[in-house]
Amino acid sequence: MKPEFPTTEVQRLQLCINDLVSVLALPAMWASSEPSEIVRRLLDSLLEMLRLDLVYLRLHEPIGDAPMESVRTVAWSGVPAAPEEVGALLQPWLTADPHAWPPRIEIGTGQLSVVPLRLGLQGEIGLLAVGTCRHDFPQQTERLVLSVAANQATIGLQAVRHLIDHKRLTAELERRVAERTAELSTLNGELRRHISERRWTEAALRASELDLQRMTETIPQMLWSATADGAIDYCNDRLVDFTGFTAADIMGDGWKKLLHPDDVEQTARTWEASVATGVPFHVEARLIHPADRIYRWCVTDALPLQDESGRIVKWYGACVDMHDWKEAQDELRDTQAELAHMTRVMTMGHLTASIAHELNQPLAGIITNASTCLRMLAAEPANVSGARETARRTIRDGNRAAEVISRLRALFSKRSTAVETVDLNTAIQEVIALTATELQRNGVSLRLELADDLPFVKGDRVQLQQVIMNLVLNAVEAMDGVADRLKELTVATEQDGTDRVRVVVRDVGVGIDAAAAAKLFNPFYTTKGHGMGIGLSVSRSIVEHHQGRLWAEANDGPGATFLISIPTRPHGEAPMEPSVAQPVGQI
Amino acid sequence: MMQQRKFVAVVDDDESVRESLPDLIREFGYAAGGFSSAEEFLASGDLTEAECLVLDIAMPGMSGFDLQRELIRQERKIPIVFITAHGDEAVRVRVRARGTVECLLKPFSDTALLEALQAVLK
Repeated sequence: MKPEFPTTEVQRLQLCINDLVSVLALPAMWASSEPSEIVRRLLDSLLEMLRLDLVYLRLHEPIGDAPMESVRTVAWSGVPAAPEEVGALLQPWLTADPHAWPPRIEIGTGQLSVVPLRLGLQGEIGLLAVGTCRHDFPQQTERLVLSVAANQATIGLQAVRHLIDHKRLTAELERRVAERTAELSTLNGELRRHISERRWTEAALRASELDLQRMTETIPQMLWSATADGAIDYCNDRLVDFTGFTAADIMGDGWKKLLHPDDVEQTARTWEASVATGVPFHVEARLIHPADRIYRWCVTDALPLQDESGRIVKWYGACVDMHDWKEAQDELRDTQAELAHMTRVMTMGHLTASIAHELNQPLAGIITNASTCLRMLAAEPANVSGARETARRTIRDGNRAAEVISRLRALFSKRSTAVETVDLNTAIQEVIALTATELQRNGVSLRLELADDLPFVKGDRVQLQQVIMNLVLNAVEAMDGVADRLKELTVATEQDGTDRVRVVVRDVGVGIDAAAAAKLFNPFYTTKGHGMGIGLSVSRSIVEHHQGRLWAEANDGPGATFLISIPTRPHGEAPMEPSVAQPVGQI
Repeated sequence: MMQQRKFVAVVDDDESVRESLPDLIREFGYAAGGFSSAEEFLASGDLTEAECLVLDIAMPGMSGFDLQRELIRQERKIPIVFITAHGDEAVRVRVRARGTVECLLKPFSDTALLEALQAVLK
């Protein structure tokens, strides 16, 4: 027999089934919805389905855009519409076990039967509280619908939460990947830049090395380098070409083969000293040059390359062929000596009359004395004592003539330059002795102001004397037309500072104007009717050869002054002591 | 007493000549004295005694020619034998033209001097 159910009961069950179907359909409605939409639909459906007065949802943790607290209520229930207010009213039980909830709770203006439902097994999603003013709430069917709805909501929210987490993780992952990718791409760019930079640098270095090598091989200079201990480790093609040796021949100490045998020892000594001390290397030595079968004079210089601590790392050197230059220098020196001699000979021509006078005086004495002597001896009786006296005078005059000749020979003989210690005072006195007659003949009165204790100079005495004689004769000539004043010639010596001496030759002649003063020392410049005008030019070159200076100044009064200034210690030598003076002008 | 020897004055700034010439002249049989300059001779008492002058041309201070002019100015007619170490034949001709007896170029021989003196002091 078929059991009988009361109609109301059947209707209630039918309603319940309808509700369950609706609840089960909920997930389809909210599929792929935002959490706030799930919450909204859940709450709205429950309120309507179960004819409730209050539906309150509180989430434990935020899920997407869903509010932490949500409320649905009906207008007439007297329940507050704000979720926070409802939450505050439920607060005393929210954390309690659902079984501990009282059957009726005062919310708003009245009491409600409230059923709490945990969302999630441990309530980890949140809490759903539903209430109605009905006392018979919840019926069994209602409880069923509620628990199914709570489950559906839990599943939906969890799914959403997972989805959100998943999205978040995916986004995070993507972000990280993007970050990392960006990092990698930056690194990659940098690396690429590094690589290209390095490539460029290497290329530049290679180009520069090539350039340098090309330069050292092409430059018209003989270049070489040596290790810190002085062994040659490189020489360029120019050096190879010049010497005819191979680079291998030259390496190490093979360079000695390139030198003139006479220059090897000195060069090696200098090189060893440089290698030991780091002093820049400089030698003049003859290098073999098979092309014209001679050794050519070359200057070799080298400088050390030092590291930060000053240790020598390497030597770099160059050889320069100075042969032609040196020959030209020698030739120039010869020419200069030749010219100086020529000037002296011309001076001698100028002085012929004076020289003749100088010699004729003692000769006259000799002849007269000798004649007297003969006559005294021929007398009856012979005047022997008188003859002896005249014979003695003959010898004296003979010596006097010999002295004149030796002075002339010293001054006018052709000879190469000689360096000796020169007492300028004595040198001047000798010049004056030779020119005294010339001065006298021209009516010139001489003031000789020679400084006591004048330091000696080093040089060619004859050349210096020639300069002084030249100046003296010029001075005499400059005063040729002077008639209104005493023709006074001053020749003076003085110290010039601590390490120079000065010779001053002053006349009261026609003087020099500024324009002429600049040209005075030019070769072939002359104001004289005769003469080649090389006297002052040669004089200056002689003085400069002694590292001295020769110049002219106009006097305050009439005339001009010529000055010579010569160092007493050329090339940094110690000052010369007067005691080493050589006697001069004697045979 | 024999006739006094004729006095010949030698004026020359060169010591060799001044020393040797008077001795030679004395050997010729004359009296002689040496003077180192024209000024010294003019200032000496021998000025009036001198019957002949052996005179150097180039001297510091008054030259031989200056002295010759001075003597003419003083109207002293002392014959002059010039001697010079600067001379050549042209000079000699020029000097002779000045109305002097002779001009000897140093160095000269004793006979040349003797002839010149004898020509003056005959």
